[in-house]
Amino acid sequence: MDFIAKIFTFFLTSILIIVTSFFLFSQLNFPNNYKVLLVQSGSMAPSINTGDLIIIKPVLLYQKGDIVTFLSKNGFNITHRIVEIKDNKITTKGDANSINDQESTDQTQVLGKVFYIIPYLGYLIIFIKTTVGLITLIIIPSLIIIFQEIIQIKKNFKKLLKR
Amino acid sequence: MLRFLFFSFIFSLILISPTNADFIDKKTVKNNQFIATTLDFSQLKTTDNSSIETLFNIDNISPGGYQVNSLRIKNKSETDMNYFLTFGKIDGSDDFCNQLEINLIKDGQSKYQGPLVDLNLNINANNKEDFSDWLIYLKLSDKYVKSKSEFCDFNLNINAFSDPNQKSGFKYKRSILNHISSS
Repeated sequence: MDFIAKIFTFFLTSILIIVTSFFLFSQLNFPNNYKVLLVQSGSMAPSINTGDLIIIKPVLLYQKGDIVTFLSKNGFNITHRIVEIKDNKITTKGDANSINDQESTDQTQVLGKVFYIIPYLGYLIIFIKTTVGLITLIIIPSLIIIFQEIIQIKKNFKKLLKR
Repeated sequence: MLRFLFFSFIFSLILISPTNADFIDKKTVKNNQFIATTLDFSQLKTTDNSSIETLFNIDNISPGGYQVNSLRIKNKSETDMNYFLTFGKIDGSDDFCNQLEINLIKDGQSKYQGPLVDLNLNINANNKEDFSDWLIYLKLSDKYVKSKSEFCDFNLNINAFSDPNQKSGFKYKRSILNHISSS
């Protein structure tokens, strides 16, 4: 039983290290780095749904049919599919939308092409950012850890006094 | 070790940026109507379906005085949407604004009756529903004591969300101007 627990802990630790490093690395701003983004709307359904995480990476050549994330004039990240490329300008459309996006986008504004979709994990992020999420996933665990540490310090202090 | 990793994982998740607002730069305002692919609504006159910019424009209102207007909110989107009707003060006297009362009636039923400044009404508009008609009854409280000339300029805000939890999806805001004065 102890052996199984150790293996489980090992796997859990490994997965957490890999996933955390992957997410943290995506935050680094250097050319051609991949990015992880949380999808907050359903305009690309059913290809990409609300609550999915997408991994994007810049590529040299964007093609019709690629799902890309680009920076809108208002400064928002938008993820839609390329339906037309003309004179370095791309026209995009959400799969769930009935019409093309009304303004074309310069290719320099494209942040990257969607390479991978992680379903549902975005809901965890949305939950963390709520008050309930903050309390249950950050504040309560933090308080438990602080409490455990205080007890440990007390124990150590008592041991020290006995000596 | 696991504790540290757990918090690092949570922290790494918090840092992830969103990609959304698909329609914020895609909408066009044409004849006071939002045109978008999946969230589309307009506020119209119930008489001829023309667009409304101003709902109430009342001068010389007396204590107990009132006016009734109608408003049509049309959901032309492909999805259901939730919208909030809220009060947004633009200018004027707080005391005077606080004395204004509103009664919002939809389908013969009062959905909100009370102080205008506290208005925060959540409505779900089914996309299959062509429109919702509102009767809006605005009244100056009987208790209002006129001491000087006062006014209240405010917006009746319509904040629409495609997601009832407002966590994701599309958001639109439209405002209808109103002017009420006691002189």
